[in-house]
Amino acid sequence: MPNLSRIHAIAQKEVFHILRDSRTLVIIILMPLLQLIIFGYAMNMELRQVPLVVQDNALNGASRALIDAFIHTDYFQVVPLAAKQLEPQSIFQTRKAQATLSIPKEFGNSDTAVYLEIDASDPNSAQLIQNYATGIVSSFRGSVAAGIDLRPLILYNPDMKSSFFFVPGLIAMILVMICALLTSISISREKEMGSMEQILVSPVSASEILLGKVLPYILLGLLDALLILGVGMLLFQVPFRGEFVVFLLFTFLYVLTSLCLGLLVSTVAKTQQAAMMMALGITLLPTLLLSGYMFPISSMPPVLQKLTLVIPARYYLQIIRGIMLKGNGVQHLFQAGLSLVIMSAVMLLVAARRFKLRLS
Amino acid sequence: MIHTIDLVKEFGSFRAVDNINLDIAKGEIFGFLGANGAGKTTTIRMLCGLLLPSSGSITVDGLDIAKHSEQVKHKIGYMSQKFSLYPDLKAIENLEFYAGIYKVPFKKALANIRDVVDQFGLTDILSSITGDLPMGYKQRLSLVAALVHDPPLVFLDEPTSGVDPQARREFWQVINDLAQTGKSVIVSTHFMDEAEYCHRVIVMQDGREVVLGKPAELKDQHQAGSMQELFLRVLGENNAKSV
Amino acid sequence: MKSLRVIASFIKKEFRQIVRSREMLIVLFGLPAVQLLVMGFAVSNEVKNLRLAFLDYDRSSSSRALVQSFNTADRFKIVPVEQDARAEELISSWQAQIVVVIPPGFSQDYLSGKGSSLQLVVDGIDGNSAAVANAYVAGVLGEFHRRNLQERRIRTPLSKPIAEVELISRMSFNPDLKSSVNTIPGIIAVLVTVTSMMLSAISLVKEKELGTLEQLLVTPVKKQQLMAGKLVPYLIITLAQLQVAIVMAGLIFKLQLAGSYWLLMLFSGIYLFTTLGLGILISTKVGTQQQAMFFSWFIMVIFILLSGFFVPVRNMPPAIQWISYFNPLSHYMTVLREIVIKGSNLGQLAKEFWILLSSGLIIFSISVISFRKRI
Ligand SMILES: Nc1ncnc2c1ncn2[C@@H]1O[C@H](COP(=O)(O)OP(=O)(O)OP(=O)(O)O)[C@@H](O)[C@H]1O
Ligand SMILES: [Mg+2]
Repeated sequence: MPNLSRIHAIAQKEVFHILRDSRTLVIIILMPLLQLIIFGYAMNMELRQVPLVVQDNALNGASRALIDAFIHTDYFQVVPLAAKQLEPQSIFQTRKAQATLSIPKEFGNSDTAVYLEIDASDPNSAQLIQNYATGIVSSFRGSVAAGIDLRPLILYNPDMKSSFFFVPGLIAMILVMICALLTSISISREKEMGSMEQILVSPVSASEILLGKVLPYILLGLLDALLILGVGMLLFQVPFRGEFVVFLLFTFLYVLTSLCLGLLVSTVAKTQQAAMMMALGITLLPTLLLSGYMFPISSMPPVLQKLTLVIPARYYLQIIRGIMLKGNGVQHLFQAGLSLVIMSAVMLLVAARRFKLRLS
Repeated sequence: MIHTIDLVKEFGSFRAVDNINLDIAKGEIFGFLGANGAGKTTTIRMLCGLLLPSSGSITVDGLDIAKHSEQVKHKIGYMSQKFSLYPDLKAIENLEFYAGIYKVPFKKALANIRDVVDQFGLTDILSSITGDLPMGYKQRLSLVAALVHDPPLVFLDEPTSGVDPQARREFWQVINDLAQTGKSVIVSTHFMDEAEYCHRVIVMQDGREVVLGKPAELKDQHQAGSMQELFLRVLGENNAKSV
Repeated sequence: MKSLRVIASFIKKEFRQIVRSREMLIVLFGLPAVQLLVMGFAVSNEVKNLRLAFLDYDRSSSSRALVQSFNTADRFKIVPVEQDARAEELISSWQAQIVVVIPPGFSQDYLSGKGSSLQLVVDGIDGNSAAVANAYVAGVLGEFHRRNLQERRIRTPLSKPIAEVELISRMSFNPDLKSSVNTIPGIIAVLVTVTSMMLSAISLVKEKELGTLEQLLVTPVKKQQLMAGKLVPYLIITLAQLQVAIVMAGLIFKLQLAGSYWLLMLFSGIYLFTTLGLGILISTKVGTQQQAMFFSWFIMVIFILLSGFFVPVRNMPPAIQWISYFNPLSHYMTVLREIVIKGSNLGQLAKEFWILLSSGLIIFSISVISFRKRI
């Protein structure tokens, strides 16, 4: 039976460590806030005011009307052509424009085609530019016959704000960062400095040590997460539609999984530096890249999609987005939660085995 | 070789070294004695230019170390209290590195240290990884590394801590030989039997000099049978005085 | 000349330390290789395999043809659903991301040319995917409509041809719109930054923690020698890593270098003054390796987020664009992309050249000063 006063003693020591290193603490608090603000404001996939060079060889009413149609949208901004001859490649190389539009001499009479050349070095932007241009041209020619009217209904996030997507994601990031990264570093630091041996010779049990060590980090992680939640809701009006209790329940599960991951890392890594590198390599990067935090899993090659199945953040992201944005209840998130439980159990078993091996 | 006037070091309001005056001759073995925290390491660190004195001056070989730090550094070999060679390099690679730093061709450096290496019996372990060596060998290697550039002045801060009695004798044999060849050796130690081997010693307490002189004369003055007795007696007297 | 020898001993020592430590080798060459691979495939803003469900209340041949026309590209993955389900419920339970609801009477309205409508329900939590999904569906419908019109025109050849403007577009430099063309140079820029900054940030604190710095300071080694002795090896390692990355990009992602290799190296060399300088600066300011890691990591994250790596700087609000102007990584990334993709020359990159050069000079000088003060 773990003894509370011992756990308290160890936890207190850990809190001192955390508080003493105030610079690291500041980074832990500041970093997510900064990311939140950058993501909220800067991560915008919409393109506006794409610089466009136009070469109008027709110079008639029809061509002018077409150019006007381009200017009148917010999408394009016409920049003057400096040279006599339109050379898209060199325009793109000097980055004066991202697209060029060439209107042939007989446009409006015998000719109906106009030529758009797009700088596709950023294929995503190129695709968007093409879509905008197609839209402008097709509305310019007017509707030929009544087509199909598409009535989109965007659920949960009608303005398609990226902050709705990133704020819950950040919470998942922070929790894994603090619970897995910091705990694994702190445990391996004690091992490196020899103070772990000191503790191990005292009558403290392994579970007391671990509980004492991880409790302050759990608290720190949860506080940080709530801070992000608060700022995100205030600054970006991110909704919280689900039940707070459900949120706490699943967050606790995720914290548990992250801790098991941190524990596993610390049983493998010999030094602090190794722990940092490994933690970075197997917690942060995968969470950042493969959890669906930024890049949709469904767009990845099949091998990577399989790989995402063992990344805890993948499940928690579904959970927290579901709770916050969709108002999901336990019945919707049961499967994701179960995956977290299984993962924790497996990691804990492996970590415990390794821990014993090291001691013998 | 070394001459200090009213050497003082303050950390904030705390005086770690208080008015130390030293005059150490060529070929002399000079010992620093004193309890933990007495200020030995701090004094030595000032003497080799790692710390700036708060006041007072230090001249080495007639050169003010504040003004001629570059020249002075070539004359100094230093073995720190904390082991400070690269643990992930081989022993020989550490030596090669320091030879390079002192701009001594490696062959010449090896010649400089050959005798000591033989005396210590280090030849066989030169190609091992430094971090894997036993404590005593690390200490020996540190001493050797301080000698690659054949410095006339050698500072050894507790060179024999963690070293077995047999090896301690070897250390002092080496120290004696170095002094024989005209080097000044400044040693700090907690072993009172080692103090007997010094030509002169200073006993420090709370940053101040308690006594300074030849071991034999000091023992006579204070009617002590051994250095151990002397040490405890002078510190006791000093404490009584300051109360 | 003797000074060079001192630096050479440092370089030898650093390389020996690195080669001896398996962890370091993995970090320097294994990890970046994995990153290049994983990120090369994972980092893309392409939206594919959207889970699409149909609620077809019309059940006519037209509606079936419409459903069929979604079956082509890898953009959608059609999920079968119960036809009496509600669209909201399908999305709320994560079964579908988009639901197309075909109302009863759709084909009648459509075929009569009266104008018909479809309901599209989109899961908006990922704003980007939602916008793209919307565009995809509109595209498919447009195509469906065009094909139908043509067929009708063929069947009724008497109706007069409609004058229309045709947009012919061409994609320069990347006709297949491969996203790796854009992301790989970006990843390489990030790798170069991470390696050089991490190595130099740890360099001094590590010696401080080990106690070896004290030993070095009693030697007559000059500050500039010590600094050069640290930085030259890191410069070499980072440039070596860059070569590996370029070769891997060519072999795995079939990315050819369009521009001059030497120009790329020139810019990389200049850029490294900034990152190595920053690393050394961090190293002189912190007390432990852990702090060094956290600090450099913090700076790198900001650099990366504001670099145009994930989202083009042009898309950002003006205030943030202005901030990224002071982000050297953003300029280096531009340079890498321009040289690799478009084969731009020095003249076309003159602005970036001067910015990177001055940033390198300024930051490096500051770090030299702080290094002298600290030690
Ligand atoms: N950088 C520093 N800042 C503040 N105080 C210091 C610093 N370095 C040393 N001290 C203090 O100065 C005093 C003298 O320390 P010093 O290391 O010189 O003792 P010492 O005689 O070498 O002891 P030991 O036998 O334990 O090595 C101690 O009280 C120590 O705490
Ligand atoms: Mg000492």
